[in-house]
Amino acid sequence: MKPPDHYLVQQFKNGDKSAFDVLTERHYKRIYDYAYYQTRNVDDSYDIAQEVFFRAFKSLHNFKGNSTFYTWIYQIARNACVDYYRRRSSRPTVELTEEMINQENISTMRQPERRPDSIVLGKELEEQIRAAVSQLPEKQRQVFILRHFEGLSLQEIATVMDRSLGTIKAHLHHSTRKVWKLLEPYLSDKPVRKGG
Amino acid sequence: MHRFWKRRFERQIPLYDEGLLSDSQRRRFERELAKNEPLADALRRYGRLMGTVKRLQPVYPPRAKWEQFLPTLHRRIEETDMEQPSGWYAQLIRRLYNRLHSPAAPRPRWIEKAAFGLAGAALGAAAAFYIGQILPVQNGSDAPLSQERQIEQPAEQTAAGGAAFEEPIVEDYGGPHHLIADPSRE
Repeated sequence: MKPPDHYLVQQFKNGDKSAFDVLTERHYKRIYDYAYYQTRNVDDSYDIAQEVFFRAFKSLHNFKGNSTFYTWIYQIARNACVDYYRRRSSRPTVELTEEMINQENISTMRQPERRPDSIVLGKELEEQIRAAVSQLPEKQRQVFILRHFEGLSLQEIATVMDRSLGTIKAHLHHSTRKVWKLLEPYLSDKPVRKGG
Repeated sequence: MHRFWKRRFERQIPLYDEGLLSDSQRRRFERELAKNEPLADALRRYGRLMGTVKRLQPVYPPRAKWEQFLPTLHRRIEETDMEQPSGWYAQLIRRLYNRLHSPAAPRPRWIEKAAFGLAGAALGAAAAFYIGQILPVQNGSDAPLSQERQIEQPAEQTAAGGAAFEEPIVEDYGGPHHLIADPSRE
């Protein structure tokens, strides 16, 4: 039987450094996944995951156990991703607005003369989903990723993001609706109109 | 159906899927769903999208790099430990820093930063005003107040005594610290 996280944390605090290796092996994939959905870059995600566990190692002695270990590590990952975006703040980004998603033709998202059925399960749709998620505002993107990609409960997301449950529900609703609006043409049974 | 109601029910699809509607809203939505074919169709499409979203897999680095995750982390930790001073005071400071600067603590929002900046500016202005009040400098004069008093005090005392009223004050290095009698009067 695998020892639970809180037991390993206690072992680490008692001086058993190998307990941290077990924690790292258990969680680094999900932290990498989270970073990848945020950045869509393999090398950056790997570096962020390294940074997260490095920071966790340095601070685990001060972990009080008010939350689970993995929500704590997600909190560090969220901060690491925020730092990543701040470092790259010079990169031009486009934030989605209601007007944009209500536009009839979003040229970057729609490929004219394509039958949606042919791409619903294809790589292209997956790429469009990632592109749509990456265009969401920061908070909405984090909530969307934590909920739909990482499978955290709403309460866990509220803990990770240090926001109220109501705020998280609102972010989730807005983010999901935006992504759905953007990708609806791909899911429709009707062919996508050329030029809107 | 009126377009407003159609859009309202469509907007509720993500909430319905997440189980975030209240009981009364959910019952109303399900009643509508039973008789509204476009709404049912939209819900199916939404389900397909969310199914695809949940099946998405990230792209991973090459296997060799992936398997080096833990050894790379070990190396980095060891390098940092070697770089840092190992005295008990250094460890104490490091622990204090880690306690105050938790990596899991949320980053301050812009409004918090702005509020903190304003509070800092107000505190700085108040401190400057207070220091201005207690510093012995008046009316833009370079001479400190305490020195001016030192000048006046002996003059008043001598004036009261009447004997050495005319004795000049000799200043040295910007402030009087002794009195020298005029030799011509002797």
